[in-house]
Amino acid sequence: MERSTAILRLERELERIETRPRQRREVVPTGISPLDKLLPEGGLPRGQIVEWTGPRSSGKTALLRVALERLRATGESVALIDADRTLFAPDWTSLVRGEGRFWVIRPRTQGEAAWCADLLLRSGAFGAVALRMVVDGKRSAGEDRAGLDASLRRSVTVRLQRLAEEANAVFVTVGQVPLAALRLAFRPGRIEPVRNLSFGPFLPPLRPVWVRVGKHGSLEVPLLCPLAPLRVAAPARDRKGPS
Amino acid sequence: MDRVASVRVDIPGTTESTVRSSGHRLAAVLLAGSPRVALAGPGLCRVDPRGWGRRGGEIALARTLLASAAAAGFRNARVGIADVAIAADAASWLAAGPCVDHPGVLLREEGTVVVRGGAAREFLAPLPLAVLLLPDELGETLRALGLRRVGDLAGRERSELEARFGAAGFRAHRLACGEDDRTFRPIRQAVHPEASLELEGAAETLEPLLFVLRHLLDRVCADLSCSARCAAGLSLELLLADGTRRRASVVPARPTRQERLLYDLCRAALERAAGERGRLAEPVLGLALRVENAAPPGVRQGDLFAGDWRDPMAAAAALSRLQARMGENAVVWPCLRPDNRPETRNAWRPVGIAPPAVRERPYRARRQEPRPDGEAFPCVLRLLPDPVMVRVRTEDGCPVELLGVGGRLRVVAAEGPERLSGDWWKDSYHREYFRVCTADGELLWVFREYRHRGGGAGEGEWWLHGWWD
Repeated sequence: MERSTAILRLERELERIETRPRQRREVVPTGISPLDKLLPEGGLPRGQIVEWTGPRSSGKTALLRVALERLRATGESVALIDADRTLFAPDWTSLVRGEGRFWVIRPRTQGEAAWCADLLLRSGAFGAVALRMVVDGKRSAGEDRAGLDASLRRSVTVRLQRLAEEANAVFVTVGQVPLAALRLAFRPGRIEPVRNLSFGPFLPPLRPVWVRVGKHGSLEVPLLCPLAPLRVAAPARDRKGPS
Repeated sequence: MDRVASVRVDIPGTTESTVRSSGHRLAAVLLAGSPRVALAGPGLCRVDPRGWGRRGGEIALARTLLASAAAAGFRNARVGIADVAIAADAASWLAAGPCVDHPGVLLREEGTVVVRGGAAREFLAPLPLAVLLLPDELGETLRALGLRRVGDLAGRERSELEARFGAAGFRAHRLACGEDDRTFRPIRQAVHPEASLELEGAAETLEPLLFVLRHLLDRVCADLSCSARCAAGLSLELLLADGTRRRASVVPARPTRQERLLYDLCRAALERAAGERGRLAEPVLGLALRVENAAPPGVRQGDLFAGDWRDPMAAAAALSRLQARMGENAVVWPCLRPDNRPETRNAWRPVGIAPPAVRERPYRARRQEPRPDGEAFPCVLRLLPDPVMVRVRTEDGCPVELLGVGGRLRVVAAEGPERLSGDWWKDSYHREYFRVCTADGELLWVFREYRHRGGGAGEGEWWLHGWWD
C-alpha cells in the first residue's frame, strides 16, 4: 500500500510523542512565597485533595483568593463552589477581569455542592476547583445554619479524589474532609490592641495568621487588618506652592 | 456524498465584484435543482444531485439546472456530473465542446456530460493538464518535462512527485488519479434550523418525548453542522392536547452543536415542565424544536503537544449542565453595583453566553513574578445572606461584648460607627456599622439598626452581618 512520506513522518512523530512520558506539572505555586517554600514540592499538589481548615477570621478565604488568582493568571480555568453563599462579590471581581476564566457556583444545598464538584472535575476542563463547604469553624453564625453537614462522606471524598486525579486538577476543600492528602490548618494570630488615650484602643494595620502545613511546619502570614483606622500617609501638598 | 454536479456559465465582466455577485446569483438560481449548492469558482457552482433518483435521474437534474440558468439570463451554461468534484468540473468544461467519443462518459447531450461511476480516472486521462487548475509554476514545469495530458501525470509515481514538488505535486497527482476529497461547503440557507414531530398518540409521560427529542436534535444538529453554525439559543415547544402550546427556552453557556449537551439541556427543561415521577400536566401531541439564535462556533486553538491543554467547550458543557439543574443563578460572576446597602452591593450576575462571532485567541499565560516575602494580603469579607440578631453590651455607644454568636465574645477593639442610611422612598434603613475584634481574634461586622433616622442611644437592634476571613 502506497503511503505518503508526510504521513509516515507524522506517524513517526506521533509515536515519539506517545512513548515520551507526559510532562505533568505536579504542583502549582500559591503565589505566597513563604507558603510555597513550606509546601512539599513548592506548591499545591495536582490530583489530590487539599484541605483548608480553621476557625472564623483565620485568613483561609483571603489566602484562597490569592491562590486562585494566581492559578487563573497562569491560564487555568478556576471554579469556586460557594456552598454557604457568604462570599462578598466586590472582593472577587478582580478574578473575572480579562478573559473570565473564573466562575462561582452557588448551589442550594451541601449535597448539590458535592455534585457540582463531581461534575466540574469530571469535565476535565478546570485546572482548579475549590469547594467551600460550611460556615466556618466551631461556631455557627446562625441557629438556622447549624444543621448544615460539616464534612463530606468518605465515599464521596474517594470519588472526588479519583476525579481530581484523572483531571490532574487542584482540588481544595475549605472544611474538613476525610482522606485529604494535604491539610492546611489556619489559626488567627494574637493581636494586641494599641491603647490610645484620645481615641481608645485600636488595632495595628497588620494582623498575623498562622498556617500549619501538615507535618511540614507552620508559618506566619501577615494580613491587612480591616479594623486599622485610616491614617494620612503624608501631609497634603500645599497647592499654592511655597510662600 | 457519492456524486456531484458542476454547473459552469460564462460571466460577463472581469471585476472581482462582478464575478462574486454573479456567482451568488447563479447559486441562488441553482437552488431550484437542489437545496445544497456550493460556490466553486468564477462562474462555477457545484450541486448535490442526491434525491433525483425518482424524478428522472441525473439527466433530469442537468436539464433542470440548464433551464434555470438560461431563464436567469446566464449564457452558455453546461453541466458535468461525476463521482468527484474534479471530474465533474472537467466534464462541465468538456460539455461546451463538440460531441466526440470520450472514455468514461455515460451519457452526453447538448450542454451535459455525465461520467460513469468509478470512471473518473479513465475520464480525466486524455484531458489536458489545464483542467486540474494547477499552480502556474507547477504547470509550466510539468509541461517542460513533457507531461501534456492528465493521464501522463497520473502514470508517474506519487512519491517521486511529492519528493520533487512537495505538497503541490502530491495534490496534483491525487487530482490526476481522480481522488478529490475537497469538502463540499453548501451555501447557508437555514440560519435557524427547526424540526418538529407529531406523536401518533398523546404522550402523558416524559419518556416518549425524550425519544422524539433525540430524533429532532439529530436533525437540527446536522443542519447546524452543514451551515457551520452553533446554537446559542433554542426554543422547545410542546403541542398540548387542548390545542394550546407551551414554550420553553434553552440557552447553553456557549454556542454549541454538541447533540449530547443540547439533549441534556432540553431534557432538563422538559423535566422542569413535568411534575412528579415524570408525568406531564397535560397530554402532549407534538414537539417542535427551533434554533432561535445561531452563532459561529467560538473555538480556541488547541495544542497537540501540550499535555495539559483543557477543552473550553467541556467547561461550557459542564457549566450549562449546572445551570440546567440548579437554575440560571447557580453559575455566576461577581459584579460591582453602586449601592450603599451591603447586601445590595453583593451582586452576582448569571454567566451568559460568550459574545458571538469572536474567535478566541490562544491564551498566553503572563509571566508571574513571585510576590515579595512578607507581603500582606487583604482580608476578604464574608457576608451572611441574612443578618443574625445578636445581643450586645455597649459602653459609650461602642460594643464591648457580644452574646448569641455561639457564646460570650469579649470585644478588644472596635472601629466605628460607620453610618449608612438611604432608600427613604421605598425601604428605608438607618444603620451604624462597627468593625470589632474579639478576644479570640475574630473580626466581625455588626450593625445597629434604627427604626427611625437619628434614633437615640439604647434604641435599635444589633445584628451580625458578616466577618473578615
